[in-house]
Amino acid sequence: MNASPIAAGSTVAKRRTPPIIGVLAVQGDFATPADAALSMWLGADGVFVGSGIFKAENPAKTAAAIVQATTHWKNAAILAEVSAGLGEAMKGIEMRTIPESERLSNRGW
Amino acid sequence: MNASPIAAGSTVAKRRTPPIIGVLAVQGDFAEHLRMLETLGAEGREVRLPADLDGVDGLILPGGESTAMRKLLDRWDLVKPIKALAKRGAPILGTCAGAILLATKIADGDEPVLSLLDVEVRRNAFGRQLESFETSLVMEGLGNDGRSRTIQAVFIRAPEIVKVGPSARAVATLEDGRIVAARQGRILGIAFHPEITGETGVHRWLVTEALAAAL
Amino acid sequence: MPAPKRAKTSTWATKSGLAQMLKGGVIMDVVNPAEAKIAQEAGAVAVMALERVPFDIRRDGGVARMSDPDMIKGIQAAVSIPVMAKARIGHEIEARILEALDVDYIDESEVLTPADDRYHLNKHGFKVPFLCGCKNLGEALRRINEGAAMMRTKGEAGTGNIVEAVRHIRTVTEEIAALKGQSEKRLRAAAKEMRVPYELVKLTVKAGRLPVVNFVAGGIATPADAALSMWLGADGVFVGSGIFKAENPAKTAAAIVQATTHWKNAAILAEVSAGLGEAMKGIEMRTIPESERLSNRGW
Repeated sequence: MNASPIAAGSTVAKRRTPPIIGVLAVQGDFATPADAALSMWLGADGVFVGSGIFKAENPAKTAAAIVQATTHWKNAAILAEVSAGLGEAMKGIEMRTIPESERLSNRGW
Repeated sequence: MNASPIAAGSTVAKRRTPPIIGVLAVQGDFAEHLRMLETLGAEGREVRLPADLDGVDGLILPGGESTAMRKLLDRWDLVKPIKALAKRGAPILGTCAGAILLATKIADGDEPVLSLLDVEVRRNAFGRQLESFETSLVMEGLGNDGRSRTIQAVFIRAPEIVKVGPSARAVATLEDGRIVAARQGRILGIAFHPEITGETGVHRWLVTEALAAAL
Repeated sequence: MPAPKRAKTSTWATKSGLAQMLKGGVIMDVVNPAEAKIAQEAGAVAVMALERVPFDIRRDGGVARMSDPDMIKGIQAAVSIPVMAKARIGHEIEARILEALDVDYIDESEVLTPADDRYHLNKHGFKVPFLCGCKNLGEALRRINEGAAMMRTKGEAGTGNIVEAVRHIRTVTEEIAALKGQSEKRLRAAAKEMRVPYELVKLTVKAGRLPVVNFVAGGIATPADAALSMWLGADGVFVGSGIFKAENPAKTAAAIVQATTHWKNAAILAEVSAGLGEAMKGIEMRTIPESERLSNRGW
């Protein structure tokens, strides 16, 4: 128990960045500043937010926070600050409750 | 886990050659202390109720959460018999939360618990978990003939001894001068955890003192 | 005053060591500072700060996410015991935010809606220690390999029904026991099957237990449930909805703390179990469809 059973960094998740040709933006079900920052961390060039903002309890504040988080996605202190006091986020829908046939992401190919 | 949970004869304690060291087992890393005692050939005993203290030659108050341990000591009236044990001259070692239980004063309001070691401690003195740390330090009394020795020490949300009263003496300090161990006769309070680094010197001291006290 | 300058912080010993200090104790889910104070007063060794307890997450549906930082700060200010918080599985940024908030442990938790359906976090890459849930040995060792410094069973959170938690801890124990005394070849095969390094399997088999502290969680509602967990070999217990969904939270919390310490003493268990009023109502497992089971999240 004194030493880590396995050396640090032995597992996957470093930031996965494929070379980017053109501009990739992530659009989808995110509702929080942390979600926006996660998309950036995963290698997106920007984010589209739809229902996440206007289904939130406090749309203006949430929108501003998501903008800040997209810019400062590497700065956890700023992310913590802008994530605070936003009220209820969009309620969200758990994926398993959406049948495959109704998933919008299945449109297009 | 296959053994019956109800241990037979747990209160019987005959006088034997290896000293019996009680380890307060209401909460915390008591199993690690029991393992240390085992490697030193002493007999460890889990202490949850006053009757478990019958016949012990020394006591360890392990690391854990001092607020939780305080509740569990109060609920089953363990404070008085532990004080009586100290009065009989049995050695007591408190690590981290255990040192907080021993102190005569706790900074920022809380009432002292056992008041057996003339020091003032400050809980979580270094900060939250991200300020937990490992370092080497020099501790008195662990080397040959009671000389000082350098040991590796782990501090976890550790307390600091902010003041040592006239009856006690600082026996280990950090590089920046903060006191992290103090002793008063056979009572020793330390802010770190020899039980998780495998540093046996502190437990060896306790066992030696227990043998001396039992003579 | 922070750690001395030359000291090393966030080492494996400090990360796994905090969990060692919590052993034999009860960690309670709380949603506000008032509940955190009740938990501390009852003798909890830590609190898990979250927006809704699993019972309510289950009832409300929708996506469950990291809590509001203000709420976590409020709880940190209210109590002196460690404060843990949950991040969604694979949500690097929620975890970074919780680290910036100086929480004492992050639970990468299936109770929240997973953010990544392929990867759990690389927990070695954080300064703050992590804990994770498991249903079996393979899951536990994969999480430890990723850097988890503490484990817990998944159980089935928010049900007040301990049956899944019992199954999970029993499974881990039995799978370790089954590997005992096996040849290196067999252990290597098991490691490959579980997708973890052989050394980690070897370490586990030699110790006869998981190489980190393991608590029981998911469905504990009474003092007897907590004592049962300890009897099954748990290092401590998490209680979520079981306390603040009970008729008398303060009394139930204190009784569960006593039962966790005195799990071997049936007379004390009888005493602390008396007069607690209604426990949380609980949900029979058959009535929860597979697709709604939180324990199926994570892999």
